[in-house]
Amino acid sequence: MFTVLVKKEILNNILSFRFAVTFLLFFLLISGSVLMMAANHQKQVLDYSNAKAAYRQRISQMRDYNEFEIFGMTDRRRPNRLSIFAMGLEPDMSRSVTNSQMRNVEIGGTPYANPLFALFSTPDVTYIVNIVVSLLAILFVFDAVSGEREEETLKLILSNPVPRDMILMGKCVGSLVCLCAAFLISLGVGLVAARVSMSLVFTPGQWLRIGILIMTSLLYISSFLMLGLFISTCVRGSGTSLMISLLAWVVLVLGIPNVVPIVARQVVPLESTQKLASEMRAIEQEEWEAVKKTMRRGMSREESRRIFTETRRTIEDRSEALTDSYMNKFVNQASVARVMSRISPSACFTYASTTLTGTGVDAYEGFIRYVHEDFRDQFEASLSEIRRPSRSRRESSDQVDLTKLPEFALTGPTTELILKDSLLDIALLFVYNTLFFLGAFVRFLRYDVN
Amino acid sequence: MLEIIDLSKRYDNGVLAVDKLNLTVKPGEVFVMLGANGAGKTTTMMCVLGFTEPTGGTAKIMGVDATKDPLGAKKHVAYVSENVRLYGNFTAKQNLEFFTRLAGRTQVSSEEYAQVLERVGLEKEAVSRRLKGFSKGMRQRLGIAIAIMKQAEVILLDEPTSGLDPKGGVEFLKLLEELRQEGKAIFMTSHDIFRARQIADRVGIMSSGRMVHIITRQEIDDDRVDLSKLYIKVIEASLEGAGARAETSSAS
Repeated sequence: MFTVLVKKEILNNILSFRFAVTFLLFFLLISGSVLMMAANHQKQVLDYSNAKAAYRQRISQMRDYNEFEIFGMTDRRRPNRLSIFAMGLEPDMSRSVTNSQMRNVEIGGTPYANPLFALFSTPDVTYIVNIVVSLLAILFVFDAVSGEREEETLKLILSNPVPRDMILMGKCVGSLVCLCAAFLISLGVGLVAARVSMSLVFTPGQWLRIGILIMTSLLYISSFLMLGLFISTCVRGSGTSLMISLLAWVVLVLGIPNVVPIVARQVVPLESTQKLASEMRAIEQEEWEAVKKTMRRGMSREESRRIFTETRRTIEDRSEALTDSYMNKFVNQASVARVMSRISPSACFTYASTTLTGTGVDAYEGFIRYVHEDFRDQFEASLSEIRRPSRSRRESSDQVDLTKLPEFALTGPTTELILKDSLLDIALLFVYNTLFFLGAFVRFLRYDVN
Repeated sequence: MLEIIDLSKRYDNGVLAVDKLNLTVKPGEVFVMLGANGAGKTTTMMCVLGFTEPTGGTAKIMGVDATKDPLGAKKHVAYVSENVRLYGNFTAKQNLEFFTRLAGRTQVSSEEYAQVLERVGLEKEAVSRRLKGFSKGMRQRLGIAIAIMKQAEVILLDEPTSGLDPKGGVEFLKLLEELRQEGKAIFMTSHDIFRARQIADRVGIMSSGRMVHIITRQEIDDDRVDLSKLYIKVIEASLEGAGARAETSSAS
């Protein structure tokens, strides 16, 4: 009996105009996105290789320690291949990082980037799933029950010896199979096309994460199907059902994730970055003013260098303390926003997908930590090894051996840790599915078919 | 056999839609229930089908209590609604196959489907056509085909002739006659006095949730009884009685 109901749902969906439109949109958007993002990634890798080669060439020519003191070293993070699926904060991490003795660590950008790309960025798969697929999922079932009531087919079905829970399960499974098949086919075609045309390959660990990302996407799609079904069992007319479904989608997908950060800013206030920057400038000014007073004529070069190094360290320590305090508040505000936004399946999906692809908040925090702490420490530790005192008169200053410079080698968290970090959001998506289904179940058992 | 015993239904808003209704429809009998809109005809049918829970009494289908064992009772009943719409994306055959399987009949040959569709008068070219282009009459025939395929002993028809053209109406009655010959107990609600006179073994007149009059085949065939006039007279008397009852209850 259950199979009969599921087959009917699948056939009815497949033969509908709604499914044809949905499948076409899925196919164009998802396959297209995978291809475009893969091409974009390929370009990023090429840019990275070029920049890396240019950097290597530059340091191979650099011999003068003074020059090195001024310009320092610049390296960058290798583009993340999984960002094809979820761009997340990848653009903020794919930047050059400059370390020098004269300045704090600098994370650069490029003045030559096309602003239109920032304005109209290519939508990645998770963006499409988050916005478009969720909307299509809710529109797919908004009249699953109320529409059948209006068409009186529900009465005819219920006049047969079929339990109501089985009818609802049949609707869930039938709709889910159709939408998931459309999603998986579109994604599969996109991946195969990217593999063939751009030789896109993934490691087994990356495949595992992609697999979990697909499961998470299906769970997210399913949550909106269940929500649509629940709404459909709460109202009598499909017109009302459509309006409520759209409203629910707007609130959950557009409303909550965008409003929550504003609310979090009110709950955990944080001073502006400009204020932080001016405070840091003030520290710098104050320390250098003090140096001016202590400097006197006839001071040896070594002593001047010592004062200079100590001052720089003091500035760094005070700035670091200020930054740490700011970052603590920032992390606190971000956690409040994160916790609050999880009342929306859309936010849970965004967190889970970006965590799985290594482009989320955790990855960004890890990147910042690595840049400011580990990479900086490695750089400072290497200074004594790369400096070579001048040996002849022809060498006006100390020489450098830059082969000992550290490489930017940010290794992301292990697959195990990533899965652990994304588990909460995946579990929450599961909870939303269960809640919406239970709501639909309870409502449908008492649904008035007249 | 269909038995309705002391069946009552009062809605949450206080309206008493069905008031202690008693009725039996035997195998090979066509019972037509006449009544104005809001008389309680459809509510009675909804209670029998288990779509609405009665506030009192019960209905038994082939001896199975529909309030206690609704799924068991539904095995013996087929239902045809006023507006048979079915699934517009499916062909007539796909609709018929789905509802037949849903009724629990999984081993049905293509010949049997074809025979039933032919029996209800659906042309061969229409069988494989999507239902979206079907007229009301064609849909109604398909609804009857679904009821036939279920092989249920009791058939419930909710105003099945409304909106049918005269030819469709005649063909529909012919089908009902065949089902009666097969021994089905047929319970039909209608506004259509003309067709009720043609097909019914008994006609019940319902008003304000009560069965106020039952006319037998002999009375219908009696030239001295004009069913239309009797219907209006009974309804008027019933409404006056209901008004008086309402006044008395409000005065007390």
